[in-house]
Amino acid sequence: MEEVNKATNQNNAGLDKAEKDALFEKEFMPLIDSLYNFAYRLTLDEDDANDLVQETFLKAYRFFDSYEQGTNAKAWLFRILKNSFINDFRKKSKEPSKVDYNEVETFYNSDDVDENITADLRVDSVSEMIGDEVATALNTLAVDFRTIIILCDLEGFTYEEMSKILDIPIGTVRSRLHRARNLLKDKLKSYATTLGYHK
Amino acid sequence: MKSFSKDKQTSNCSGESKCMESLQIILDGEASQSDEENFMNHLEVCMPCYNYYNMDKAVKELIQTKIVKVKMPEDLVKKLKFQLENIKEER
Repeated sequence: MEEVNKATNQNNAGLDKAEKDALFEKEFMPLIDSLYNFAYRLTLDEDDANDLVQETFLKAYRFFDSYEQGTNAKAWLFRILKNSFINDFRKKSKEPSKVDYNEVETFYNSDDVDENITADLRVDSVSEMIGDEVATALNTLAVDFRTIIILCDLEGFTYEEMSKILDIPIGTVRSRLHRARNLLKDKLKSYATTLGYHK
Repeated sequence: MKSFSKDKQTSNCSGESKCMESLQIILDGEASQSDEENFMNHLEVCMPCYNYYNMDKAVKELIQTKIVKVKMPEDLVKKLKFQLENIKEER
């Protein structure tokens, strides 16, 4: 009798505990590195990234029942991580220089297109850049802009997936991406000039 | 090689904002095949759009190829797995 009750209580997702654990292992554990990379690029700190990833996986396990099998595990996890990040860092604000929400909000109020910034950046200068320069350019973008570039270009999420991860309309995904790319090009252009890639 | 008829080389594209939208959607693989074809045709005659598209494409490829994905340190992965095991046993 006891065994039957146990099984029912754990059976929210229609699986017993062993099956749940196996599913969790199979679908989520392979995503550790992607999530860590994302967490690291958000926080720019190894310890904070580690804390975020741990928190995300623990939450994911705890709320595994609300995850629908066969749906997008990666997007689900990224969403949890992003929300944890926002909650944790809004509370802490221990390193405001790394995450400046005022800066981010200012950018959000103006979605105008800066065409002239990118006018004289050249494709060949861009292709010659090395990893460190590109990483620095990315890391010095305001957090929400680098987030969207990471999600789109590094992790290959679709607009719809990004819309769900970030809790923003698809139109905002597109405009933010456009703005982020212009800002990134601006940074690359200034490195290219400083480093003498183009005269 | 692409040839641009001189009388169509303008510094401002007449369809600018629509082109910007299409450009991005196509770059990110979110466009329909016909929209993509139309835009590619447009690039054949519009120098500013052609340049903009190729620049954005180069930058996207830069991110994809030159950013090294940072891996979680082995010992921290182990620690995480250990913590998860503990939680699993609690339930």
